[in-house]
Amino acid sequence: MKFYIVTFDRKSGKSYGDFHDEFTSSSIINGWFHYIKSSYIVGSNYTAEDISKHFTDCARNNNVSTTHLVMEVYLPNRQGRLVEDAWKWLRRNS
Amino acid sequence: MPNPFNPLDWIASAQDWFSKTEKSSGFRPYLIYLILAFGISICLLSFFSHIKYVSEVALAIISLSVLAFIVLYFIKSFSDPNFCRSESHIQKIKKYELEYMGNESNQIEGRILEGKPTIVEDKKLTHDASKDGGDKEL
Repeated sequence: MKFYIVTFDRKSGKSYGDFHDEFTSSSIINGWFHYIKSSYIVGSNYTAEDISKHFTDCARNNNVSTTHLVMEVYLPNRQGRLVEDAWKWLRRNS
Repeated sequence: MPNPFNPLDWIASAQDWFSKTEKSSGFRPYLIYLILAFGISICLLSFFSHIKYVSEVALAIISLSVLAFIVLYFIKSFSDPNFCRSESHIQKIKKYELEYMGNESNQIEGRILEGKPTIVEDKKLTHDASKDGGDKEL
């Protein structure tokens, strides 16, 4: 399984609940990490193009901005400042 | 620089103001209109009440404006409730509407996760402890 970071142009004051549910519940997303409001890390067997298309479809369905970037990431090479649960997820998936 | 003697500049200024005003505070433009209507009516009643029908016209302006205000708010309260609320109130509500965050096996309410750094303080945020140097909590 590959991991991708999906970073997007989140607008303040807009509800992303329905978008989140649709985006994360798809069968092309095997695992997800959403500890930063404007980004996801997703695990998938699909390509960046497929995930980008899925993101765009979900964004359009829920009337949120479609601006985003999907890029494959190498999880073991990481550092940052996050809550402990977020690090546990990264360790488990590295 | 707008020319105060050009009516088109007045219209442009009004349009500009309406486009920048808070969408949710829709009552503000109407409140200004209401104040203007009351001002005109009071002027008419004070200075021109001796002219035939002026009193009726002034009272009609006031009553129609107030009636329209009530009708507008009645409709808006159903069709667009945010129209009647302040921007800060809407932002507060939106904050509580944050989607679930976390990960696929441990979902956390977004408002709790977002509130952590300020409520439980910055100490809850750590660097990755599995990396060299151990837990580099900041």
